[in-house]
Amino acid sequence: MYPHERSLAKIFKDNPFVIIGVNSDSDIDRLKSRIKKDKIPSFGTSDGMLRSFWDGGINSGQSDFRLNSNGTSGLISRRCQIQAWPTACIIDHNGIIRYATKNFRIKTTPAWISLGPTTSLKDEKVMVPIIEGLLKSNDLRNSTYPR
Amino acid sequence: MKKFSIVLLMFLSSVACADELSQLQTEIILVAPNSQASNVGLQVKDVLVSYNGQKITTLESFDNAQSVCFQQKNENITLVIERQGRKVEFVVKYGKLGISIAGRFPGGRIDIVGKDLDGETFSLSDYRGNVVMLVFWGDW
Repeated sequence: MYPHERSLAKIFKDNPFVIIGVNSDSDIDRLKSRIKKDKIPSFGTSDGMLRSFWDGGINSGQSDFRLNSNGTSGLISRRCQIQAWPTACIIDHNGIIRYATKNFRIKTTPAWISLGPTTSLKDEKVMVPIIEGLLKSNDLRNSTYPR
Repeated sequence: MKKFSIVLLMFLSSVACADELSQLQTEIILVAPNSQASNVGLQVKDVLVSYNGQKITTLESFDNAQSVCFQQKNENITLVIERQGRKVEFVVKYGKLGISIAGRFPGGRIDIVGKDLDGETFSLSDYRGNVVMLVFWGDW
Protein backbone atom coordinates (compact mmCIF):
# COMPACT_ATOMS: atom_id res chain seq x y z
CA MET A 1 0.00 0.00 0.00
CA TYR A 2 1.23 3.46 -0.78
CA PRO A 3 0.81 6.35 1.66
CA HIS A 4 -2.49 7.69 0.33
CA GLU A 5 -4.02 4.22 0.38
CA ARG A 6 -2.64 3.51 3.80
CA SER A 7 -4.24 6.64 5.18
CA LEU A 8 -7.63 5.74 3.67
CA ALA A 9 -7.32 2.26 5.15
CA LYS A 10 -6.58 3.85 8.49
CA ILE A 11 -9.51 6.27 8.35
CA PHE A 12 -12.00 3.49 7.57
CA LYS A 13 -10.30 0.84 9.67
CA ASP A 14 -13.40 -0.35 11.54
CA ASN A 15 -15.79 -0.14 8.60
CA PRO A 16 -16.85 -2.58 5.90
CA PHE A 17 -14.30 -1.07 3.55
CA VAL A 18 -11.58 -2.87 1.64
CA ILE A 19 -8.96 -1.83 -0.84
CA ILE A 20 -8.37 -4.33 -3.61
CA GLY A 21 -5.59 -4.00 -6.12
CA VAL A 22 -5.15 -5.01 -9.70
CA ASN A 23 -1.44 -5.34 -10.16
CA SER A 24 0.04 -5.06 -13.61
CA ASP A 25 3.69 -5.86 -13.07
CA SER A 26 4.87 -8.22 -15.78
CA ASP A 27 7.40 -9.98 -13.55
CA ILE A 28 5.65 -11.33 -10.50
CA ASP A 29 8.82 -12.74 -8.89
CA ARG A 30 10.53 -9.38 -9.11
CA LEU A 31 7.40 -7.77 -7.65
CA LYS A 32 7.30 -10.19 -4.75
CA SER A 33 10.95 -9.62 -3.90
CA ARG A 34 10.40 -5.85 -4.11
CA ILE A 35 7.50 -6.16 -1.72
CA LYS A 36 9.69 -8.08 0.70
CA LYS A 37 12.73 -5.86 0.33
CA ASP A 38 11.02 -2.48 0.38
CA LYS A 39 8.51 -3.67 2.94
CA ILE A 40 5.58 -2.32 0.96
CA PRO A 41 3.09 -3.35 3.60
CA SER A 42 0.22 -5.69 3.13
CA PHE A 43 0.26 -6.65 -0.49
CA GLY A 44 -1.12 -9.86 0.71
CA THR A 45 -3.84 -10.64 3.11
CA SER A 46 -1.99 -10.22 6.37
CA ASP A 47 -3.84 -7.15 7.58
CA GLY A 48 -6.76 -7.78 5.27
CA MET A 49 -6.71 -4.38 3.70
CA LEU A 50 -5.24 -4.91 0.29
CA ARG A 51 -5.41 -8.03 -1.74
CA SER A 52 -4.40 -7.81 -5.34
CA PHE A 53 -5.38 -9.52 -8.51
CA TRP A 54 -2.29 -10.20 -10.53
CA ASP A 55 -2.87 -8.87 -13.99
CA GLY A 56 0.58 -8.72 -15.53
CA GLY A 57 0.81 -8.79 -19.30
CA ILE A 58 3.45 -10.99 -20.82
CA ASN A 59 3.76 -13.64 -18.15
CA SER A 60 0.13 -13.88 -17.26
CA GLY A 61 -0.52 -16.76 -19.61
CA GLN A 62 -1.44 -14.57 -22.55
CA SER A 63 0.05 -16.31 -25.53
CA ASP A 64 -0.46 -13.39 -27.88
CA PHE A 65 2.14 -10.95 -26.62
CA ARG A 66 1.35 -8.50 -29.41
CA LEU A 67 -1.71 -7.56 -27.45
CA ASN A 68 0.32 -6.66 -24.39
CA SER A 69 3.80 -6.00 -25.60
CA ASN A 70 4.54 -3.59 -22.77
CA GLY A 71 3.66 -6.21 -20.23
CA THR A 72 1.21 -4.06 -18.35
CA SER A 73 -2.11 -4.90 -19.85
CA GLY A 74 -3.54 -8.12 -18.55
CA LEU A 75 -7.10 -9.20 -19.14
CA ILE A 76 -8.60 -7.09 -16.37
CA SER A 77 -6.97 -3.81 -17.21
CA ARG A 78 -7.70 -4.37 -20.87
CA ARG A 79 -11.33 -4.93 -20.08
CA CYS A 80 -11.46 -1.72 -18.08
CA GLN A 81 -9.38 0.00 -20.76
CA ILE A 82 -6.84 1.30 -18.29
CA GLN A 83 -4.38 3.60 -19.97
CA ALA A 84 -2.63 5.14 -17.02
CA TRP A 85 -1.53 3.89 -13.64
CA PRO A 86 -2.59 4.37 -10.92
CA THR A 87 -6.30 4.48 -11.65
CA ALA A 88 -9.00 3.72 -9.10
CA CYS A 89 -12.71 3.31 -8.72
CA ILE A 90 -15.04 3.03 -5.76
CA ILE A 91 -17.61 0.24 -5.78
CA ASP A 92 -20.61 0.22 -3.45
CA HIS A 93 -21.88 -2.68 -1.36
CA ASN A 94 -23.95 -3.94 -4.29
CA GLY A 95 -20.99 -4.12 -6.64
CA ILE A 96 -21.89 -0.98 -8.58
CA ILE A 97 -19.24 1.55 -9.53
CA ARG A 98 -19.99 4.88 -7.90
CA TYR A 99 -16.86 6.80 -8.61
CA ALA A 100 -13.88 6.48 -10.89
CA THR A 101 -10.83 8.56 -11.53
CA LYS A 102 -10.27 9.69 -15.07
CA ASN A 103 -9.02 7.09 -17.55
CA PHE A 104 -11.21 4.42 -16.12
CA ARG A 105 -13.52 3.05 -18.73
CA ILE A 106 -15.51 -0.07 -18.62
CA LYS A 107 -17.52 -1.36 -21.49
CA THR A 108 -19.29 -4.26 -19.94
CA THR A 109 -22.30 -1.95 -19.93
CA PRO A 110 -23.68 0.51 -22.46
CA ALA A 111 -22.03 3.45 -20.78
CA TRP A 112 -18.47 4.47 -20.20
CA ILE A 113 -17.41 5.85 -16.89
CA SER A 114 -14.98 8.64 -16.34
CA LEU A 115 -16.13 10.68 -13.45
CA GLY A 116 -13.41 12.60 -11.75
CA PRO A 117 -9.91 13.97 -12.02
CA THR A 118 -6.99 11.54 -12.25
CA THR A 119 -5.38 13.12 -9.21
CA SER A 120 -8.34 12.43 -6.95
CA LEU A 121 -6.95 9.02 -5.96
CA LYS A 122 -4.37 10.84 -3.88
CA ASP A 123 -6.80 13.48 -2.67
CA GLU A 124 -8.49 12.63 0.60
CA LYS A 125 -10.87 15.54 0.19
CA VAL A 126 -12.36 13.79 -2.83
CA MET A 127 -12.19 10.15 -1.78
CA VAL A 128 -13.17 10.30 1.89
CA PRO A 129 -16.65 11.89 1.50
CA ILE A 130 -17.62 9.39 -1.18
CA ILE A 131 -16.52 6.36 0.83
CA GLU A 132 -18.08 7.80 3.97
CA GLY A 133 -21.36 8.53 2.20
CA LEU A 134 -21.59 5.06 0.71
CA LEU A 135 -20.81 3.46 4.07
CA LYS A 136 -23.49 5.50 5.79
CA SER A 137 -26.18 4.92 3.18
CA ASN A 138 -25.43 1.22 3.46
CA ASP A 139 -25.88 1.42 7.23
CA LEU A 140 -29.28 3.04 6.85
CA ARG A 141 -30.46 0.38 4.46
CA ASN A 142 -29.26 -2.45 6.67
CA SER A 143 -30.54 -1.13 9.96
CA THR A 144 -33.69 -2.62 11.40
CA TYR A 145 -35.11 0.79 12.26
CA PRO A 146 -34.32 2.94 9.28
CA ARG A 147 -36.22 5.95 10.63
CA MET B 1 -14.45 2.51 -49.52
CA LYS B 2 -12.11 1.61 -46.70
CA LYS B 3 -11.60 5.26 -45.84
CA PHE B 4 -15.32 5.87 -45.91
CA SER B 5 -16.09 3.04 -43.53
CA ILE B 6 -13.41 4.23 -41.12
CA VAL B 7 -14.99 7.70 -41.11
CA LEU B 8 -18.41 6.14 -40.67
CA LEU B 9 -17.11 4.01 -37.79
CA MET B 10 -15.62 7.05 -36.09
CA PHE B 11 -18.87 8.89 -36.49
CA LEU B 12 -20.91 6.02 -35.09
CA SER B 13 -18.63 5.55 -32.12
CA SER B 14 -18.71 9.24 -31.24
CA VAL B 15 -22.51 9.21 -31.37
CA ALA B 16 -22.51 6.19 -29.09
CA CYS B 17 -20.21 7.94 -26.63
CA ALA B 18 -22.38 11.04 -26.43
CA ASP B 19 -25.43 8.92 -25.82
CA GLU B 20 -23.68 6.88 -23.15
CA LEU B 21 -22.43 9.98 -21.38
CA SER B 22 -25.97 11.27 -21.07
CA GLN B 23 -26.82 8.21 -18.99
CA LEU B 24 -24.41 9.25 -16.28
CA GLN B 25 -26.07 10.74 -13.23
CA THR B 26 -24.85 12.01 -9.92
CA GLU B 27 -26.85 11.64 -6.74
CA ILE B 28 -26.65 12.86 -3.18
CA ILE B 29 -25.41 10.13 -0.86
CA LEU B 30 -25.04 12.15 2.33
CA VAL B 31 -26.55 15.34 3.73
CA ALA B 32 -24.71 16.92 6.63
CA PRO B 33 -26.94 17.92 9.56
CA ASN B 34 -27.51 21.68 9.97
CA SER B 35 -25.99 22.35 6.58
CA GLN B 36 -27.36 24.52 3.82
CA ALA B 37 -28.50 21.36 2.07
CA SER B 38 -30.48 20.07 5.01
CA ASN B 39 -31.97 23.52 5.65
CA VAL B 40 -33.38 23.86 2.12
CA GLY B 41 -34.54 20.24 2.17
CA LEU B 42 -32.16 18.34 -0.04
CA GLN B 43 -32.28 14.60 0.57
CA VAL B 44 -30.21 11.52 0.09
CA LYS B 45 -30.94 9.90 -3.30
CA ASP B 46 -31.84 13.22 -4.94
CA VAL B 47 -30.35 13.16 -8.42
CA LEU B 48 -28.58 16.37 -9.44
CA VAL B 49 -30.03 17.68 -12.71
CA SER B 50 -28.57 21.16 -13.07
CA TYR B 51 -26.72 23.79 -11.09
CA ASN B 52 -27.04 27.38 -12.25
CA GLY B 53 -28.49 26.10 -15.51
CA GLN B 54 -25.56 23.80 -16.19
CA LYS B 55 -26.36 20.16 -16.68
CA ILE B 56 -24.87 17.80 -14.11
CA THR B 57 -23.78 14.38 -15.27
CA THR B 58 -20.59 13.55 -13.38
CA LEU B 59 -18.93 14.70 -10.18
CA GLU B 60 -16.56 16.69 -12.29
CA SER B 61 -19.40 18.52 -14.04
CA PHE B 62 -20.74 19.59 -10.65
CA ASP B 63 -17.35 21.00 -9.69
CA ASN B 64 -17.17 22.78 -13.03
CA ALA B 65 -20.62 24.30 -12.61
CA GLN B 66 -19.60 25.59 -9.19
CA SER B 67 -16.41 27.15 -10.45
CA VAL B 68 -18.36 28.93 -13.21
CA CYS B 69 -20.52 30.48 -10.48
CA PHE B 70 -17.40 31.49 -8.62
CA GLN B 71 -16.04 33.24 -11.70
CA GLN B 72 -19.34 34.97 -12.45
CA LYS B 73 -19.73 35.85 -8.76
CA ASN B 74 -23.24 34.42 -8.74
CA GLU B 75 -24.74 34.44 -5.26
CA ASN B 76 -28.15 32.84 -5.62
CA ILE B 77 -28.13 29.67 -7.60
CA THR B 78 -30.96 27.56 -8.91
CA LEU B 79 -30.37 23.91 -8.22
CA VAL B 80 -32.63 21.42 -9.95
CA ILE B 81 -32.86 17.89 -8.66
CA GLU B 82 -34.95 14.88 -9.53
CA ARG B 83 -36.79 13.10 -6.75
CA GLN B 84 -38.96 10.05 -7.46
CA GLY B 85 -39.25 11.03 -11.11
CA ARG B 86 -40.21 14.63 -10.36
CA LYS B 87 -38.03 17.68 -10.94
CA VAL B 88 -37.73 19.97 -7.93
CA GLU B 89 -36.12 23.41 -7.91
CA PHE B 90 -34.16 24.91 -5.02
CA VAL B 91 -32.50 28.26 -4.62
CA VAL B 92 -29.22 27.93 -2.80
CA LYS B 93 -26.36 30.26 -1.95
CA TYR B 94 -23.11 29.75 -3.75
CA GLY B 95 -20.70 27.77 -1.62
CA LYS B 96 -20.68 24.65 0.43
CA LEU B 97 -23.99 22.77 0.41
CA GLY B 98 -22.97 20.11 2.89
CA ILE B 99 -23.53 17.13 0.67
CA SER B 100 -21.53 14.21 -0.51
CA ILE B 101 -22.23 12.96 -4.01
CA ALA B 102 -21.47 9.88 -6.06
CA GLY B 103 -22.22 8.57 -9.50
CA ARG B 104 -25.58 6.92 -10.00
CA PHE B 105 -25.11 4.39 -12.62
CA PRO B 106 -27.28 1.29 -12.40
CA GLY B 107 -25.51 -0.41 -15.29
CA GLY B 108 -22.13 0.08 -13.70
CA ARG B 109 -21.94 -3.29 -12.04
CA ILE B 110 -18.51 -4.82 -12.08
CA ASP B 111 -17.19 -8.19 -11.09
CA ILE B 112 -13.72 -9.54 -11.58
CA VAL B 113 -12.48 -13.06 -11.10
CA GLY B 114 -8.77 -13.67 -11.04
CA LYS B 115 -5.76 -14.91 -9.15
CA ASP B 116 -4.03 -13.04 -6.37
CA LEU B 117 -0.27 -12.65 -6.10
CA ASP B 118 0.00 -16.06 -4.48
CA GLY B 119 -1.97 -17.74 -7.25
CA GLU B 120 -5.14 -18.17 -5.26
CA THR B 121 -8.38 -17.53 -7.13
CA PHE B 122 -10.77 -14.94 -5.75
CA SER B 123 -13.39 -12.55 -7.03
CA LEU B 124 -14.60 -9.07 -6.29
CA SER B 125 -18.00 -10.41 -5.34
CA ASP B 126 -16.37 -12.18 -2.37
CA TYR B 127 -16.34 -8.68 -0.90
CA ARG B 128 -19.98 -7.84 -1.63
CA GLY B 129 -21.41 -5.91 1.30
CA ASN B 130 -18.24 -3.87 1.59
CA VAL B 131 -17.41 -0.59 -0.02
CA VAL B 132 -14.47 -1.50 -2.23
CA MET B 133 -11.80 0.76 -3.59
CA LEU B 134 -10.29 -0.92 -6.61
CA VAL B 135 -6.81 0.36 -7.39
CA PHE B 136 -4.94 -0.44 -10.58
CA TRP B 137 -1.30 -0.29 -9.63
CA GLY B 138 2.17 -1.34 -10.62
CA ASP B 139 5.57 -1.15 -9.08
CA TRP B 140 7.81 -0.02 -11.89
